Amino acid sequence: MIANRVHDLYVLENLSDKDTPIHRLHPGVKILATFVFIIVTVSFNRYDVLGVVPYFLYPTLVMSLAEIPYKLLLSRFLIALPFCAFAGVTNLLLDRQTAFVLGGAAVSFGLLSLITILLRAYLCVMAVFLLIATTPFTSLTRELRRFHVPAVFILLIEMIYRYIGVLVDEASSMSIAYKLRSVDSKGIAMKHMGSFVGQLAIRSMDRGERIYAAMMCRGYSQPTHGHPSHSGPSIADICVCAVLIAAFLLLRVFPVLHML
Amino acid sequence: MHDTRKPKQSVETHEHPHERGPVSIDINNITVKYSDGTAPLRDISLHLNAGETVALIGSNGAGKTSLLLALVGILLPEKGSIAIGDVPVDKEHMLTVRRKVGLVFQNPDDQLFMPKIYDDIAFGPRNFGHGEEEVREKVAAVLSALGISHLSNRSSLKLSGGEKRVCAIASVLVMNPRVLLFDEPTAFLDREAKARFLGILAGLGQTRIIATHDPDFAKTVADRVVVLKDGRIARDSPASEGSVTLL
Amino acid sequence: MHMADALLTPAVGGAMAAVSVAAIAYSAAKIKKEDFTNSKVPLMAVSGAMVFAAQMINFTIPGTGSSGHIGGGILLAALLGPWAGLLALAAVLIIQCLCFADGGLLALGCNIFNMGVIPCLFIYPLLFRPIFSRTPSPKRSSAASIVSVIIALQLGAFAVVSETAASGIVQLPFSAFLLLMQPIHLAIGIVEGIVTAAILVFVHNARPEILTAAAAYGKTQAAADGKPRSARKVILVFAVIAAACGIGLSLLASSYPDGLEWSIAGVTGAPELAAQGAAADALAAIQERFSFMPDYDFAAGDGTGTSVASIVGAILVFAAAGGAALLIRFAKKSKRAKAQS
Repeated sequence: MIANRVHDLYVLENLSDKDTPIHRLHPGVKILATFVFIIVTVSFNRYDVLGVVPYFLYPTLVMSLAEIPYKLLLSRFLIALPFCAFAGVTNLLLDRQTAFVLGGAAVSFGLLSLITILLRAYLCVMAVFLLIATTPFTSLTRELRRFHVPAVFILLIEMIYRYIGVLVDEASSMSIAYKLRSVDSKGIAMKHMGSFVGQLAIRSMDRGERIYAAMMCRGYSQPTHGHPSHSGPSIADICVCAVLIAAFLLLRVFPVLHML
Repeated sequence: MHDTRKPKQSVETHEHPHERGPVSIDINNITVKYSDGTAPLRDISLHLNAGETVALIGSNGAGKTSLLLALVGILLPEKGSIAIGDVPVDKEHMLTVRRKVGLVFQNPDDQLFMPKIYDDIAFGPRNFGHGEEEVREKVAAVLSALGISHLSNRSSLKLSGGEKRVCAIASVLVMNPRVLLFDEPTAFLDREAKARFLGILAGLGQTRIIATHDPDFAKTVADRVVVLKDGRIARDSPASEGSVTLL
Repeated sequence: MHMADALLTPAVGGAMAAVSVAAIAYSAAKIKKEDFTNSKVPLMAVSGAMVFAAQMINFTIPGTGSSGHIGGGILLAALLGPWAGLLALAAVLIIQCLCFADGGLLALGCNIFNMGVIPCLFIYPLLFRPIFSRTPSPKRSSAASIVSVIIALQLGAFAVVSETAASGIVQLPFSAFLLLMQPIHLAIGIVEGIVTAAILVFVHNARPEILTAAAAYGKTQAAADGKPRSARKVILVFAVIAAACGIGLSLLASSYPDGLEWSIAGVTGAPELAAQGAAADALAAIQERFSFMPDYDFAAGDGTGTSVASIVGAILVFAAAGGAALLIRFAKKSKRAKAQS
C-alpha cells in the first residue's frame, strides 16, 4: 500500500528517458513554458470558460508528441482533484444567478465558475505532470542552477528524492511487520506511532551520519555538483520557447472563442 | 558559490602520473574513543605490505567498521598513528588520504545518494576538481571496466543488491585509490552476485582490507586473516593456516 | 491542506512565492554560516525523506474509526533546527508538487509558507523552543509539540483561507470558510500534536542530544552574532512582510479583480493601441466580451447568439486537440511499423 505510493512517485519520471521531440527540448525551455502556461491559465477570471478552453491544445498535443499515456496522467489528476472540486461545488451552490440561457436551460454563474475551476485544475496539473514526465529529474534540478537556486538546496532536493525511495521501503516493511502481528490491520495504532516513527527518525539520523561519512571519503567538502547537466539552449530551443510563450500570451490577450 | 571550485587543499593532492601502484598500510598502536567514553578500538597495530589482502573478521561490534573509518580519517585516533604509504592520516593530509584510500560501505544505499548512478560515480572526481569532460571519461572508463555501462542513467532504487554493490565499488574505483577497504561486501548478496564480486576483486591490484563476518569467504579472498574481538586484535595469521573461527 | 493552483490568482501566488523564496534564501544563508553545514545536508535529506515516508503511514485514531497522518513541520524543526527544518520541508513540498501535483507550481509559494515557514520560522522559535529548552525533558518536549502543532495548523488553515479569499476564485465568504476550516484543523492539530509529541519523546529518550542541539542551533548563532534577539527580530520582520503582503493583496484583489489582465494591459499598452489602429474595432469588441462575462447585469437574450457560436468554437477546439493527438499517434505507429518491417 505504501510501496504503491513509491511506485507512483517514480512512475512519471520513468517516462522521462524516452526520445521524442518533447523529451529532446531543453529543460530550461520546458520549465519556462510551463510557468508561463500556468500563470496565464489561472489569470482568467472565474467565469471565463471560453477563454481557458483553447489552452487544452497544449497538454493534449504535448502528451501525444511525447507519447505519454493519457490514462496514467488522468488517473493521477483525479487523485489531485478533491479540494478543487469541493471549492467549485460551493461556488455552484452559492452563486445561482443566471448567466445566460442556453437552449432553454438557465446556466448559472456558479456553474460557469465550477467549470472554470475544474478546467484550470486540469490544465495546471497536466502542465506539471508533463514537465516531469518528459524531463529527467536531475536535468530539472540542475537547470535550477541557471535560475540561481543555491547549490546546497539543489543537492538537498536531489538527495531527498533519492532517499524517499529508501525510507518509504523501510517504513513499508516496518508497517507490514507490524500488521502481521496485529489484529486490526487498518493501520498503525495511534499509541504506537511515537515509537514507530521515532525509530524511523533515529535510524534516519544515523543513516545521515553514514552518508556524510561516505561523502567525505570521496572528498566532499561543499556542494560542488551544481553543473547544469545540459549545455545552454540551442537556437531551435529558444525559438520553440518563444513561439510557445507568444502563443500563450496571444491567446490571453485575444481570446479567440470570444470573437466568434 | 562557484560550480567548479576546487577543494582547499588541491595543491597538496597533486599526484605524479607514475605513482599508481599499491601502497603499504601502517597502523601503529592506535586507540579510538567516542565522545561518550567508549573505545571501539584499543591498542591496534597492523602492517600491510603493498598489494597484500587482509580479511578482518569478528562478530558484530568487534570494531571492524571503526577500524576502516579510522583508516580514512573519519574517526581520528586518540593515540597512536596511521600511515598510508608515506602519508600520515591526520587533519593536515586529509584530502590526500581520501584520494588514496577508497572505502566501500556496508550498505550501498549509504554510498549511492544521487538520483542517477552517473552522478554518484562522478561525485568523487568532481569533488577533486576535475572538469566535466574529464569526469565523463573517468566515469565511462570505470563503468565499462566493471561491465555496468548500461546502469549509468538508472536510479539506484531500481537496481538489485548485487548491481548496487558494483555501482558502489565503481564510485570508489573511479578515484583510482591505492588502497581499497570493504565493509561486509557480501552482505545482501546472493551466490551469483557474490561470485561476480569475487571476479571483480581478483582483477584489482590495490592493497585491500576486507571486513567480513564470514570466515570461509575471508579465507578465499585474503592472504592473511586478522580476527578482531572487543576492539583488540585477537589473532593474526596467514589465510592458509588452520581453521579460522570467530573466537 | 495543500493550496491548489486552480484557486489562486497569479498575484496572490506570486506574492506568496516571493515571501517563501525570501524565507528559503535567508535560511540557506543562515545555515551556510555554521561550520557544520555540510554534514547537515545529508542529515536534512534523510530527515526530509523520513517525514515524507512518515506522512504516508496511516494511523488509526482511537474511538473514531478514522485515520490520520502527520504533517511534519514541527517534527523537522525539532530534529534539525528551524532553518534546516524549513529547507528540508520546502524540498519535500517541491518534490510532492512535481510528482503528485500536490498543490501545484504556482501554489508552491503558498504551500511552503503555510506548512513550512509558519511552523519552522514562527512557531518553533516563538513557542516550541521557549517551552522545551529551559529544562529539556520528555514532558516539556511533549507539551511543546502539542501546543506548537495545534497553533501552527490553526495559522496554516487561516493562511489557506486568506489566500483563497484574496484570490477571489472561490465564492465561499471568508468568515464561512474560516468557520469550516479552523475547527477541522483544530481536531487534526490535536491528533497530530499528540503523535508528534510521542515521536519526539521517543527520540528524546533515545537520543536527548538531537533535540537539544537543534534547539540550541539558532540561539548560539544569535549569541555569536552578538545580537541575542536577532532571531525574534527576523521573525518580526517576516510577520510584518507577510501581513503587508496579505493586506496589499486584498486591496489589489478588490480593485483589480484580475491582476494579470491589468498588467498585460500595462505592458502592451492595449488601450492606446486600440485608439490608433485598424485593430481598434476588434479590441473594442474584445473588451466588451471581457466585461460581458464578469458583470452580472446583462440581458439573457443578448448573450445567447454569441454563446452558441462560442460553444461550437469550444467544441471545435476539443475536437481539433483530440484529432491532432490521434493523428500524431497514428503517424508514430505507422513510422514504427515501417521501421520494423
